[in-house]
Amino acid sequence: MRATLAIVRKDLTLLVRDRGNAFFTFGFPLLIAIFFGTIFGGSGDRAKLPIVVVDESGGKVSAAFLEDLAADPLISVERGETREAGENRVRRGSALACVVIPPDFEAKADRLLSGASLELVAVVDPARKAEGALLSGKLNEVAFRQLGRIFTDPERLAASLEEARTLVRNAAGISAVDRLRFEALFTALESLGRRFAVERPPEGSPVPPPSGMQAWSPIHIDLQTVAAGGKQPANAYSVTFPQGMAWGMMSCVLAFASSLADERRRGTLRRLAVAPIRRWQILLGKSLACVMTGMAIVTLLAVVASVGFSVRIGSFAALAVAGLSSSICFAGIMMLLAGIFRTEGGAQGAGRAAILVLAMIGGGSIQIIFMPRFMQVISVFSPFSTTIYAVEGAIWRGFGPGEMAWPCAILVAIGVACFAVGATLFRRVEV
Amino acid sequence: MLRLEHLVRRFGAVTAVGGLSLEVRRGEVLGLLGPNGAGKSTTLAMAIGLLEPDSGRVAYDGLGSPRSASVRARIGYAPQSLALYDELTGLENLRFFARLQGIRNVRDRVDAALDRVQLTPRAGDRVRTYSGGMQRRLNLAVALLNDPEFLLLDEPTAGVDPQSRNNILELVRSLADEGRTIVYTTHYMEEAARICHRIAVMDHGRILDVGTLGELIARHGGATALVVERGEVHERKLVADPVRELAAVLSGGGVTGVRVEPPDLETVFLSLTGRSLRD
Repeated sequence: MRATLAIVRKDLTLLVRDRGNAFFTFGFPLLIAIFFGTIFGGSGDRAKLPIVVVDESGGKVSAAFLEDLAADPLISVERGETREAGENRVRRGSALACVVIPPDFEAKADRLLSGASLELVAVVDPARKAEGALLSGKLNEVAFRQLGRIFTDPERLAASLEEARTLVRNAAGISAVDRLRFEALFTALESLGRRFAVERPPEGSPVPPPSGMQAWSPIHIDLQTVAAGGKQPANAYSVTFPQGMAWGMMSCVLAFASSLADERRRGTLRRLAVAPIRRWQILLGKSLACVMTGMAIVTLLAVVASVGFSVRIGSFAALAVAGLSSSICFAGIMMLLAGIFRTEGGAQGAGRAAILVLAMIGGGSIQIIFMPRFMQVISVFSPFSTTIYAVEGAIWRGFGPGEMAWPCAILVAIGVACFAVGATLFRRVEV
Repeated sequence: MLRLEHLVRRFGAVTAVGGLSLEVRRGEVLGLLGPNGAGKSTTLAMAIGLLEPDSGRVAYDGLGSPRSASVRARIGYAPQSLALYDELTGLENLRFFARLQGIRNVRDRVDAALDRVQLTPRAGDRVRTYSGGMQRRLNLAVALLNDPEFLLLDEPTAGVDPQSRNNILELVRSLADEGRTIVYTTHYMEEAARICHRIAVMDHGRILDVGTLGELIARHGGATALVVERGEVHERKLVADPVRELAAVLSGGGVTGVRVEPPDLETVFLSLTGRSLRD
């Protein structure tokens, strides 16, 4: 054990003395956590979704639709002359989408009570599907608001009802009783329209904000964040610091995986191999150093988050378990890389590639919700996402022992499996 | 005593060591001399237990395999590469390797090793600030930490200045005088001639001959060369009896200079291994 601890101490000293490795292991994750925490939780204005709208209708309804769209705090509207010009903006990436209001938009708006639907065309940047989905929701919301405008405009309501009456009158297969029922409904709607009628502003004056019936919406959503035992994240740093911890552990993997290759190149591994200790003691020493570095990363970031950024740690014990499980997992990955790749370049390159893949699978690059189903299943076993999940469980998700057990067990299992394979490969290496 | 018996080691189709047998006596420095690729380092790697021979065996004074911890604890090994941590100090390097060896009185042994290689004043400096010679001496000091009975030194003076080389050679000889058994691989003939009690010349994975310097010269050195200078003309000839030949030359006229070149280790080496280049 003394020899193993000597290896741990030596490796930790070497890590700290190598400024580059020390920075990317401890400093960089801290900067990531603070930087993104500040961005997502800061007081600055959020960027709006930039869209180009081409109004081929040119009517009153489309004008109102455009007014409502432009008033939305999440959307930045720019008028486009032609659909082709709008699509060009999307292709170049300067706009998220080109929304086309077709020529029959006005006519369909007048037939809303007759079963017609407002139709829009939205050409979206395929690389920004998540924002496209958000835009789709916003377009629905604004379109729905146009229904309210019909009830507050007596002329439009009358025209719509006349259209509907004609439809019922000419429809075959409707009984006389049903026709009377429809007529009663239309009359009631006319009466309702007169009651909610809004005085039209003089020509050329700005459209007042919707009020009364105009502002009516069939559903109001009170969006709240999950609060487990009153321990919802205190701020954005509660989310970004766990991510910083995961990135730090990945940097730690890079540093230690290449250190084994470095020892082989220098010949120090040969010296370790001829010492009166077992080969597994060398590997255990390296892995313990990696685990301890992982724990140091978790501790450092937790202290900074807690003291400097008001992050409330739900359970220190659970955080310790999550940190230890994650560290074991990443130490195992380190050993696997060291076992497979015999040179520093190989270990570094493979380490970077592994980090990229693990981060992508874990939702670090593409959001998990937009992945194919099988990738979503795989992502459950991504050390990146599982580490974040476990750490969040300890910090603000309020996980109990049972809930903590699963992600931690997955992490330890991945670590042990990778260690076993890596150690087997490494034992075959001629030093 | 260290005994290597019929060692064979192949790497794929290449036979690095083919049936090598050698015996190193207690208190002896045995020089292992050979051109590049002769199999010296592979032989040492099998002797230290880093490589398992395909056949044959290594025996240390009748002890077990060099792969066992108890045998390794009695062996000191200085690899050809500078197997040191640049970002640690000399002292930290020695302490680390001492703990790895399971040494109990680390401080005393580290101090003694530093003293032997005369690095005590620079012990607190990081190794990357050391000169090549200092790094070589530290590399040797690591091998001495466990006060070994057997020392395997793989080209321990490669790339060092004359002062450090002299220091290392004197140290090796004094270690042998203390009764340690030493195997010393080198390219340098004068080193082998100076410190080795016996020299084994090897090539293509085999020992070509073993003996003292005198024995090897007697067997493979050939005749002494006599160089006679008459003005600008230099005449070199091999002679069986240099004294008689010299007397005869001097009795004649027109001699402006005479040089006697007795056979040396280099002559032996080239005689045994040939003059073709090894790349």
